[in-house]
Amino acid sequence: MTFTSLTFLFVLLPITVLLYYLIKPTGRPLLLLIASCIFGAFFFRLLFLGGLLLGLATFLTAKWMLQRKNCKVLYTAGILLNLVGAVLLTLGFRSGLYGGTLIGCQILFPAAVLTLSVQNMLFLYETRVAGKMPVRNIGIFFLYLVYFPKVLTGPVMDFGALACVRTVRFRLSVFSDGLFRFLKGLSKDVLLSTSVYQLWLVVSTARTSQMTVLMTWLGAFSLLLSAYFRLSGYCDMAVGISKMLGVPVKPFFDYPFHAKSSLDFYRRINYSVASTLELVGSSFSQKVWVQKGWLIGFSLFTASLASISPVFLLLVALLTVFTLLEQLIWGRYTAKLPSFIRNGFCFLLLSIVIVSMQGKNLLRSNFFVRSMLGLAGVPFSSGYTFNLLIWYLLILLAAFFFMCISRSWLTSRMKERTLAAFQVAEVFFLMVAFIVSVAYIVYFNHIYMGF
Amino acid sequence: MKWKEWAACFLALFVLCAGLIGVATGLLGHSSTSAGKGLEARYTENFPLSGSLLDLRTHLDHFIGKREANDVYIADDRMLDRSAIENPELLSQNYAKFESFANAYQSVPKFMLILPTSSDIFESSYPLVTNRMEDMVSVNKEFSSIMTVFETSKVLYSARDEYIYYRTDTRLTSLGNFYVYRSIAKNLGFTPLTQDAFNIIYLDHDFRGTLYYKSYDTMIEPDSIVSYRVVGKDPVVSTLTYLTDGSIKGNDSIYYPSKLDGKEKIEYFLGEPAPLVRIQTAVDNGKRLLLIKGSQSSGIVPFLVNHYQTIDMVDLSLLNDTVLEATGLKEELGNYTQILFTYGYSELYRPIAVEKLLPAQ
Repeated sequence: MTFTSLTFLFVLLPITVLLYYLIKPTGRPLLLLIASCIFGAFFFRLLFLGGLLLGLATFLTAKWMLQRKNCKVLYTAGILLNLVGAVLLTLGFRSGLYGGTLIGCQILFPAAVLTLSVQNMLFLYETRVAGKMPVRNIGIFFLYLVYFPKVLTGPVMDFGALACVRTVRFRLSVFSDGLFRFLKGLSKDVLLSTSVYQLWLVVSTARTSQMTVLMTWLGAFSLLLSAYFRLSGYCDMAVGISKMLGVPVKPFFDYPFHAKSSLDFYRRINYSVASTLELVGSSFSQKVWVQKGWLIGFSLFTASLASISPVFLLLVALLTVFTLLEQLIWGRYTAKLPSFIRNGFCFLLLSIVIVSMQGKNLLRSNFFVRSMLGLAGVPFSSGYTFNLLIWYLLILLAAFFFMCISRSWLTSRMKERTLAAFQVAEVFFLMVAFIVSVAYIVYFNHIYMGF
Repeated sequence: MKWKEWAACFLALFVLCAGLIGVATGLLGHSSTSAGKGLEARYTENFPLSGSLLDLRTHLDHFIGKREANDVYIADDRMLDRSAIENPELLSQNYAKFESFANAYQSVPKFMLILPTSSDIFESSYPLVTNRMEDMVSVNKEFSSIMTVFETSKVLYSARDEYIYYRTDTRLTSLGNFYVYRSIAKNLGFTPLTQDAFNIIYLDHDFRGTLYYKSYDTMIEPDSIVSYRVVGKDPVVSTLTYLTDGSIKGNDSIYYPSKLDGKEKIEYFLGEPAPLVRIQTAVDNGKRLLLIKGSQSSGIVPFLVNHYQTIDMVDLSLLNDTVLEATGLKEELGNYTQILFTYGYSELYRPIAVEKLLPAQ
């Protein structure tokens, strides 16, 4: 199940939230665990079972580690186990072992596997540092692993965040804030991400004779924006659902296009994962270069998991070499440049990388990259590109609106009356956007399920 | 309570009600097309107001100027298929197979009917398609070196303002097939019937074809299904449909009225796709036609039944050894009066299994 499944939006989520506040607070962890299991196992039972087994192995390793006086070898083995487990689970998904694919799961499922393995690593780390397990009940530990608002893309949760579920009371103001945050995320994912991605589809299916330099760049920007809206949307939805349940969950997304280097981008796109990895890295060595190496290695690992086919491992390797060179050689020089230049350079690099990873094969990827650089012998622009540009600008305007209402700097400058009117408009807009999002979900389901 | 909280309550209640109605109608109700596709599919198919939601999506897409959905281009008054993959290598491979077939059965007159799809005839409606009509002429020329090729694109192009193609499908309507039938009759050796010789029966006004089910664009008007029935007694005596598992279904006509109640209304003509359909008619002239067809080109058969005693209609994509052994089709190939291949232009760029009918080496 994903957040954009109709069965989630109209059955699982409302029923879970309703029961959550109706039953006795002591039963809430069990309710959340059952809801999370339904959510996780709805489409890919085998993958979900694999994740739970990995969790069980981690729990037992932590227990054993404590019995053996906090043994470092067992700690290292536990970390390695999670690395290997994540690779195996993802390979199983890639080979179709879990029975087919789902819309959007090319990115979501590797991300889910990564979040799960990093959550396990945090458990091992906290056990080793504190000399005791942060959670002793295995049921609660599983809940931290598969808690449905965060199981797909994160964030990695602090052990203790779910302690409040037994005491939290229903507060309508908090619930409504959570609901509208969820709707904002849903609209970002369904309306903006998908619309922007359509533009890339137009570019990627165009014939070679119709391609222009401008068109390839438009395609690249649309891919980046689409990925941004998808992840940002999922972050908003995860935070929104948790808020509805009265559970504090930190956002994991921090304006990745503000990144000034590739490592910075990796940190910003899921900083809960990155910060946990930095913690785990620091438990092996206090040297900065070791910690950076660990994080870079993991960025390679993440990108490999998310890459479309093994062929693209080559590209991922190139990106890693680039990141290493950036850290070791030219990073110290570029650090002196104005931040907007570093920002722009990082954005352009990301555009090229994301386009090169989208081609059906290396030849096609090569063509896309050469087109972007003006080396493929295609014209700079055409009338058709102009039409695409207008479409793109329309989407950017919509995107800008969403950015604005998510930023406090706009609202903080408003007078009281204007702010009230703005908030009414925002709620009205989000309610309309919800209906439109549902219309698009129904449409996508009709197309992909082949009625 | 603040207005924002009221709005949240209203929305939560709405979602809960919609969810419960959806569960009642979707998960517990009847489902035909989503059977076996899982709960999400069942729920989606029976989701409350799904028709209105699809309408809303269509209007929004049109409003922002989006004219393409899932490889379907939405022109002003029709849908056009954009998914044809033109692989020149497959065309030359198919050509070689047809050549081998022609050499193997030299004694039987062979004909090729290459039908343009609606996207070929209305290509000017789409901004990016290259000149496919010119490509078709060169393909026709190429195939004419191995068998007689019928040139139908000009006939259809000149009649493009009439209702010759379904708006929501790539196929020809009965009127379009009638024009094709008239244009090929002379070469096949019979005089075509005029339009007065047929009763034109309007069967359904709510047909949505394959392009609709790819794009779900509700702005384009649904199609009508029209049947051309010859005045007087129906010439068809019996129809035997050989299915892939070797079973045989019999009928006393080529029409299947029960199909008009389902989604695949087009199967009213000749029933469900099958590897072989044997049509026996009351025409007593001893002429036997083997019609080897693509997936979308059987609409001409209702007209041909007036001129042949037997028509065997073969779909090579479904033909298997079980059917070949049960019918002895391969051994009979030399006994046909004529062999007619009917394929859509874009189908020539996909694998065509002509080798299934070649004699064993």
